[in-house]
Amino acid sequence: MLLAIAVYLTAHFAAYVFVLRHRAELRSENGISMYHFASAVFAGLAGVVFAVLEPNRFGLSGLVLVLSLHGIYSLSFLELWSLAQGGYSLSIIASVAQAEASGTEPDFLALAAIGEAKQDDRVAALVRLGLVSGKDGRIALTARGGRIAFLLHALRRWVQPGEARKG
Amino acid sequence: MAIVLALAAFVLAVLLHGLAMRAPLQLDSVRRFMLIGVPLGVALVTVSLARFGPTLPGIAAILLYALLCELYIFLFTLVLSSVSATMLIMLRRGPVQASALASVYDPQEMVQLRLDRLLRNGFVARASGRFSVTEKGERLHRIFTGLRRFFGHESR
Repeated sequence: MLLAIAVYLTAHFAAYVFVLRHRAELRSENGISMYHFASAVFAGLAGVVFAVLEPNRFGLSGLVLVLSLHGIYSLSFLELWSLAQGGYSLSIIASVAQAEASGTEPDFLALAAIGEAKQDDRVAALVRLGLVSGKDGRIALTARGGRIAFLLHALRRWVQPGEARKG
Repeated sequence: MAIVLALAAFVLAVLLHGLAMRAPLQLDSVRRFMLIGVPLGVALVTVSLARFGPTLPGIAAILLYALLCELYIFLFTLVLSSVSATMLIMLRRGPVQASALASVYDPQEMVQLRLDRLLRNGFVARASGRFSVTEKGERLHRIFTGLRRFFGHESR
């Protein structure tokens, strides 16, 4: 079983490396997320079918194994993809390296401008996801956004107690 | 049983991480979690293999724990550093004028925050007022330049 899922994930990765990574659709956040999400749904459904057909040999443990392995693979892949696409800290390192090479000062103002542009993009993305709404020039949380924000704030309070009261 | 064991180990790791975040340690949030998550993971592997052997339930428990830990690290680092997450948390205080968002969430402050973190973690150094990339930072830069090329981000 472990071998079957390993072969499947290797094939999924190989298809990306040798064929699909050159396609424009898989260079967008939505495209690459869908590539992994569809595969996880397929693997999950196959896992459910096996769990029902072979409850003793496969069962719930088999399903958990399939989903966990796929989850580790997809999460690692998407994190790297996203960091490589536009990690802010990486842009700062690049800016410092560039300035060092040319003997100038790093242009942090330009980086702040990137942050500002990023902020506009993010607001648009949050509107598209239905988490915030823009009305009369004001941005507010939707009901769903409020629930997500509550969870995020709770997690922030958990891992950053000193900053807890800021949210 | 093996799955329950993995879930229990993960819940314990999260609880201990919360405590570690309140302790005066000179470690960032990820390292604090590793300090707890890795020994618990080793304990889980030992117990799982001793009790279930290299069977489907034993391996599933280990992988489930690894996935949950990765997901947790992803979520809390997202909450601590993501622009979108910070905006959502900020909007809990009430609606904000779109034009005022930039002043409420200052991009320059964001650059400073990241820069401080890079300095603290040894990716960037500062000597006599000049910034430089350390060897560690250069290595990271090289790796991600390669990854950008691999994922096709550079040709966009």
